[in-house]
Amino acid sequence: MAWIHSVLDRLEDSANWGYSPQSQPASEPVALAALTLAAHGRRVAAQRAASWLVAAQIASGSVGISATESAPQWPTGLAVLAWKAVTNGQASRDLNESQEQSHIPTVRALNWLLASSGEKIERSAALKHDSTLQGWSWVDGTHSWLEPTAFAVLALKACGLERHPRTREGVRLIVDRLLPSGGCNYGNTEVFGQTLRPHMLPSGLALTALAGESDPSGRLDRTLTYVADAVGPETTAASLGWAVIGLAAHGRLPNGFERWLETAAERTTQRGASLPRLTLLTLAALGSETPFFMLTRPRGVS
Amino acid sequence: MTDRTTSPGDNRTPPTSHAAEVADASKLDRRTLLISSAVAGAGLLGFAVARHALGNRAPVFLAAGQKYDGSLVSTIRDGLLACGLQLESLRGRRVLLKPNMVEPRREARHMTTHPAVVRSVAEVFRGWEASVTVGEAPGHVRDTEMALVESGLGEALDDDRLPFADLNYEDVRWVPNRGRKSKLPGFHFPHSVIEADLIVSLPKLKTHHWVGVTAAMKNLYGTLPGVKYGWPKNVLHYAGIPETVVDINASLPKAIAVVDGIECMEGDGPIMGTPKQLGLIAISLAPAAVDATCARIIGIEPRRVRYLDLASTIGGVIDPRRIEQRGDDWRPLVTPFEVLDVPHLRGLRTDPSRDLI
Repeated sequence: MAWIHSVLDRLEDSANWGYSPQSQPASEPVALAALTLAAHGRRVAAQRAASWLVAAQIASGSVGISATESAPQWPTGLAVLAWKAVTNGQASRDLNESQEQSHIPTVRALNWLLASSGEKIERSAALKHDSTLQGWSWVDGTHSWLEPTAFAVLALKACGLERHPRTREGVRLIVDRLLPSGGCNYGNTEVFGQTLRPHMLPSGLALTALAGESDPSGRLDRTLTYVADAVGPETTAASLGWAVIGLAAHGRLPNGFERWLETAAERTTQRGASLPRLTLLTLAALGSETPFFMLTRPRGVS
Repeated sequence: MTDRTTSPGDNRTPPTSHAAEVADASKLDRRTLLISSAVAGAGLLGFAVARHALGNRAPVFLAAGQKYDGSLVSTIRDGLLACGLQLESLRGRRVLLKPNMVEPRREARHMTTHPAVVRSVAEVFRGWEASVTVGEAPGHVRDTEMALVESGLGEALDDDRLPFADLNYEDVRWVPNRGRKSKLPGFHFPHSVIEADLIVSLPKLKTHHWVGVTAAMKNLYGTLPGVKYGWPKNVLHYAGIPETVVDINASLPKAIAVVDGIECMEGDGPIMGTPKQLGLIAISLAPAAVDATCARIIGIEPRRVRYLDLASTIGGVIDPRRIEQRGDDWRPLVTPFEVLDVPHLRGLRTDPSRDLI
């Protein structure tokens, strides 16, 4: 479709993958660019984005929010996904196969991810969620939240570590943060006895990270229902992108999603043409071929 | 807990002489330090902010009986003038309006600053030939476009051709912590905040289930970017909410306030509370003073609100004897709000015999 080619052309030509045209390149939009460029077969530009992320990686193995801001390091999981997409399986899939290859950016990043975690909080009546689960935080030294945990879980799964205890605990955390009636927000469920509201973007991201998982509590199914019912042509770009990706990861692509994405791309272009939002829409346009699913699906699943 | 939230740049120690200066000032008189910051900012601008700080008094303007479809522009213009804002200093200056869009939902518009208030304040400052931008870093949502749509603010900005700065994702610059109540050595502010000549905090008046009340000072949490502080800005929670509220405000001395107290939130604020009609617009060049006044109006004793009490130790004016009342008198407006009945909020009431909720 023309809008997709237009966005890919812009990404290929861009000298600045920042959150906005005025800002410096940032790791999250660069990683998303690498993912979509690789998935759409624009490998030279994808490699350029992946190389930028390698250059941004610091000695600890982590990747900060930009080349000049090495903290916080929450984009590290996204960088791993980008590198895996660009190398397309050429890099070692298992961490334990690569101990002697510690120079490989992916391995260094994985080691950092496995060594980092959110801060546990003693359980209290004020917070309903299991605050003793570690997961991952946005910022070192703070509590775990849903989105950074989802990024880390996706990265670990993409590297064949879906059975690693940290991955399993991350999955438990994401399920624990789903609201009883489905959906989730940034990562609180109930505070002072009140159940909080769900939001589309984190719900879509949670579904993406929970692809292939089962949840006897039913909250995963109810999250699928929430996202499927709430998403539509008016959904804003970033939320729509993650919602479609999340539904795709569970084989639940909604009818007409291509048109919704195109409309969202038109709206986004009219409103300043945020390249990161457009990039996310092109990733969602891949449907069941989205790299978030292709990279992280359990082995043997085609 | 050690602060590990900062980039390598955060760990830079200020030049020795400056460090010593700050330390000495800290020992001698923190209020003087805050006022010096205000003077430094205001000296460039010619605003009245420093004059009032140095005069040890803070005017607060109150307008009762306000409606979103009423004459907000004239009310706000009158209020700012009554508080001593100097118009000649505004021409061509960059004014950043900071509404509250923490977690907007169409069905909970009492959670966020009403678009009519934002539009009216913008019209006032544009009328004074300032260059106006609206900026916010929503605290609980990464999809800022969604926040704009759900709050109704996006449509208003489009109609009035007001530029919006997405503070969650802008490049940042580090600024030293001038409040020094928390252990954070400094803050990473987005460029739009750094480059603004004046920041107008446009909060929604709400009760808050952790700190009691949220208005102008707490609203400035939303000047800090999610990319550095997370969603939510958990770094600030770990460093202490009252302490970081004061520190952020002390580090942004060029902030003034217009409070949306027309339809407010009571009970389990700042997200899940219930609507409360108050019909109030409150204005001041001194955010602590307007917050203290709003607290009194909703039945909370400012001295018992930790961040207001802390602010008062570094020059924030909360003592009613030092607040110059302009416009309507606050006393007839007192309308106690429901406050969540949790141990850490008990004792906030001006009238301790009154139930919280």
